[in-house]
Amino acid sequence: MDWVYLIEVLVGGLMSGVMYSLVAIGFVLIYKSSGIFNFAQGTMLLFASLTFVKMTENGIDFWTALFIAAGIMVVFGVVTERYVIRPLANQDLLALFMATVGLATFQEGFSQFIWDSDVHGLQMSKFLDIGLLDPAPIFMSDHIPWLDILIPKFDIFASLVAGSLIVVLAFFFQKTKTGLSLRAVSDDHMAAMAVGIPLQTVWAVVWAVTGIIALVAGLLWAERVSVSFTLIEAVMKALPVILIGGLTSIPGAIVGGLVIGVGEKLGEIYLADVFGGQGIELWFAYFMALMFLVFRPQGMFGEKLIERV
Amino acid sequence: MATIPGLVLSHNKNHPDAVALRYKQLGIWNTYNWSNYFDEVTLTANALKSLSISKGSVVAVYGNNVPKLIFSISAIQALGGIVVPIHPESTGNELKKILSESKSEILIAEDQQQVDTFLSIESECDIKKVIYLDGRGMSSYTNSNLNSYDELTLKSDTTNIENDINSLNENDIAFYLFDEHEDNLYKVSHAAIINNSAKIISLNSLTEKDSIVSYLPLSIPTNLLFTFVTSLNSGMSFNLPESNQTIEKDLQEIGPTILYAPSFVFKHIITSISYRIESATQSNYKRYMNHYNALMEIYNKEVSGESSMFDKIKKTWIMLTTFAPAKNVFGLTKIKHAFVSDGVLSKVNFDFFHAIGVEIQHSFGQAASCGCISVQPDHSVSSENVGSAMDGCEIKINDKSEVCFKTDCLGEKISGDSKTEDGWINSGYVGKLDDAGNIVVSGRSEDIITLKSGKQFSPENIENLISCSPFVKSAVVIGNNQQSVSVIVVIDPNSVNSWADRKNIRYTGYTELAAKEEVKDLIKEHISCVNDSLESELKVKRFVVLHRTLIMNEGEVSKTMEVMRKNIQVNLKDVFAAIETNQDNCKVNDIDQLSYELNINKI
Amino acid sequence: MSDILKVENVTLQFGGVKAITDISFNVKEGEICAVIGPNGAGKSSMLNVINGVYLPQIGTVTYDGVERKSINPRDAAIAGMARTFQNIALFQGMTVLENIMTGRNLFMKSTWLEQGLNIGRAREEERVNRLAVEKVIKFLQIESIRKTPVAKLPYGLQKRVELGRALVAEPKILLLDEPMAGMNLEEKADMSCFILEINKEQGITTVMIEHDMGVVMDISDHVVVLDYGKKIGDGSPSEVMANQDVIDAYLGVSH
Repeated sequence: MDWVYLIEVLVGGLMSGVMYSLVAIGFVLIYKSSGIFNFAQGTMLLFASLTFVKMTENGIDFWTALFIAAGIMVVFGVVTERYVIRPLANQDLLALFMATVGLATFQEGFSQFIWDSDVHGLQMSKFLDIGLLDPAPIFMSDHIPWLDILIPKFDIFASLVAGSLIVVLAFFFQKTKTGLSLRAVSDDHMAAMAVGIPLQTVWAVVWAVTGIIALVAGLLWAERVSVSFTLIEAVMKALPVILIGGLTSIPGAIVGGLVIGVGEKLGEIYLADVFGGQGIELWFAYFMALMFLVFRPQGMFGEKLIERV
Repeated sequence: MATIPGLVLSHNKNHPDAVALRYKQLGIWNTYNWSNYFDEVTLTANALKSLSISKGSVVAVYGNNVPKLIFSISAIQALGGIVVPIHPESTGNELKKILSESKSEILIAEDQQQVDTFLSIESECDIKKVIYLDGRGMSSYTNSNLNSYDELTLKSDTTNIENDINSLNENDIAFYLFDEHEDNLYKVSHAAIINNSAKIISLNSLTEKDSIVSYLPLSIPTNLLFTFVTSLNSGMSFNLPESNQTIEKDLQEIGPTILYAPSFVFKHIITSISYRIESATQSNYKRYMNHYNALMEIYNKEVSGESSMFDKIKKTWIMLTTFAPAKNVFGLTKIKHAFVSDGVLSKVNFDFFHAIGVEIQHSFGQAASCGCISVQPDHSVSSENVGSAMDGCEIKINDKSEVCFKTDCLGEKISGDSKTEDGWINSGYVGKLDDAGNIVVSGRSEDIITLKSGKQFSPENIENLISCSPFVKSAVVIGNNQQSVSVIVVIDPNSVNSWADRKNIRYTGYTELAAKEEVKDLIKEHISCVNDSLESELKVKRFVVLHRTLIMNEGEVSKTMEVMRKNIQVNLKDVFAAIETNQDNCKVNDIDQLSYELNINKI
Repeated sequence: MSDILKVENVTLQFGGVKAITDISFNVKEGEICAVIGPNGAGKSSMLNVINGVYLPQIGTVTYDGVERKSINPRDAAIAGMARTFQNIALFQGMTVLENIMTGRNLFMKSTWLEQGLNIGRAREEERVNRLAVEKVIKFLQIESIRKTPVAKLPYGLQKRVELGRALVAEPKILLLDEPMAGMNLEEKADMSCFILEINKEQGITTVMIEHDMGVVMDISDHVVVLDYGKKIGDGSPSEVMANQDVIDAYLGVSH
């Protein structure tokens, strides 16, 4: 076995894993706070990155566009909470899920209506003069003689951005009152209200934060696969991640993402011959998730539901 | 010229910034250095002066180790007063007896529990004032004799008390100590108890860099000597846990180097490990048992000097993966010396602690010997003896096999009748001296059982063997005038609970669990094992599993959890009668108007 | 003492079913008021009306001098009402300490940025809140479990933690929904002591719903008896005990 090659594969896997994690965290946040599986996560990514791209195409500079797009996502999050989620509070979870399906459909149509349905390329190097956005990969052997692998610079950039966002989020939810409130709300709405936690505010914060995550994740993914409706499919990769990590755990989403990222790459390289052909990357993540569902349905870090008699 | 408050004063002079005392409150460790410590003592002493405490005044301190109580001890003594430590769980009767025999004038009580106990006997003793340390729950109490410590010290001042302390004589009485077994108070002078602690310090090379956690009441004479006086004398830090329920966590956080405890505490640690293991997953359970067996095998090789390099590596691995974490859970990681008093550990448990690197050192002492006349040296590997006489002590065995001693650190009976003609004091325990001059204690002399055949033996040995099982909390041997030995077994609720859960045995409470056939079989199996190591006459032939635990408040066990045979015999007279008359069943009319039926099982 | 809480002519219906019919009673400041009654008597509904979970169709609740038709539970909390729930509503994913800390929610005024960076008033606020929580932990004697996830605790201790979470909010009035349900004798005795002490030493008015007559009569100053959504008794424990309707309801005379 070629160890150096294996390391290259692992590093690559971890880096794409971080990107999966970022998308998965969006799902987890909303599920944790309100028990809703947000079907509109994919269209949020699309909407966010499309908004950004259209603005830059119209000559607005990178940082202004990023700032405005983030603002739009926050407003969108708050509005969603106020006019979609709040009226449905205390309703059947299925109704809430259907509401997010509706939201997704609306967003898809709305994006096309105000922007367009073309495929847009996104090249951040056009806007940002950072060495890491240079298309040439890094040859690690230049730095560590025995480590003869190459890593695409953008992968490093993407995982740095995603990683720092994850750290900031983790900090936010562990160390602040909003974080404590979110965890309280996710456990028990009734009790949270009774101790004076403003349920609606927490929900609004969560939707707004999710919007910002969608923007960052959307841009990072768009750089790889272009801004188009295929972006929604990329989001579907996050499903096995949350199945593995558990819908209720942010650390789970992170580890789940890494596991899927690495597993996928390993599968592609070491199992492709066994199953014949290259398509393994398309389904291997789902296969791993299936295995998890069979043996540990609550996911790696998910809470085991204990029913007291 | 050393006195207890004198030691505080000299620490304050020599190293005022060194850590004197730590205690945990509201989740945070608070530290007193010697300078703060001395200030608190000064403040308390001046407050006590206003209550006219002076030379020879007797003040009882009734409670757990909390900083205010610790400061009060030195403050009382600084004024020339005598301190009578009383166990926080002492009942009204015991409190009344101690207060009246010691002629205490003032009572310092910890909180509502102690104040309530006192109020129930107030009319029967001569206490003039009560000072309570924690006023919680007492805002509606109108008794004018009650004073709050906080209010008294708030009104107090910081008048220098150095002169008071310097005018003390080291031969003044410092403490009256209560010996539960002898049911008597002993006078202990500053010099006697400080010199006794000096022996322990020099024998074990203790320094001010060591630390100790004191979690038992100072009314236990051995505890007073080994924790309070020893730490004060050596200048090591004295640490107090947050509450009785947090001791394990607090030990973990402090990581003391010295541990002192009566034997029941170590037995409790073994039991806790056992029930954690019983409730662990099957694979962890197996791994633990394998590691345990391997560890003990290596330990035995070590003792006989046969351990190989491979054994060393294997032991390191086992310690790292299994026992180091277990040690940490109980805060034993840094322990250099673990002193045991009030009973000895059985060989199995003794060896286990030594194998995991907790060097148990048995000691022997009581109020009459200021807490200690002998202590095992470091690295001693025999679980049987309690060490040889310390410097300044002499031991002999009298014609009734009783251990008698002479010591230069004597506690005299308050009534003054303890000195025998030739200066030898009877310890009240039977035993022998082994070839190396070590004392081997077998039990209290009044407990000796005589079988019908005339065979005499100390029940403690058999009781120790039986209760070394983690499932047994205590055992009481019966046999006077009997053909054979019988035993009352009290099961340990924690470990038997988790064992029953593992075996899928259903039960609702202690009583039902104790009555289960499976539990009886478990106990039976264990006793049969014990029987293998007993001579034929002493083999246990019958046993009863009691439907309750032994109760300290009823005097059935001592404050250090030793069996108090006399009181058990009264409370459980029906069980004794049934066994003595060879019944198969007995109807028990127990304390608290409880009545139930017990089976007497044969082996 | 003035009345801190007045319930006037409250009727609550779910669909066509009347859970509470025309109930009025007053709670004096500083007292322990117990609302008792057999199962299905409308006790929990009454508590839920008081702290705004349910909106009554008829009647008003006057709290602290303000008459109101509706209030939401958060506003009730801001107004100084803290409560516990019949089926323990703790945050199962959190430790004891964190659970009780959520009770200090209304005392956290600093922004998330300050908290995240632990600067400015966040630091002082954290210290004050932690101290308040620790005092409650000490009061309830749960020091040994402060870092334990509540899901691992036995029922009786969970009830105690829930009381702690309500208490740490420094409420004017404490609403306890069956604080002793499902407890053994010893746990009940402990809980009674805590409730009495909270009331007598800290002067917090307490409204308590209870099923267990014995405990209620021992510790309450004032007892309101409900049966089938109607009030059948109101007075001191001894008065209520002598009330024929109450005796009938508890002994199960058919209606």
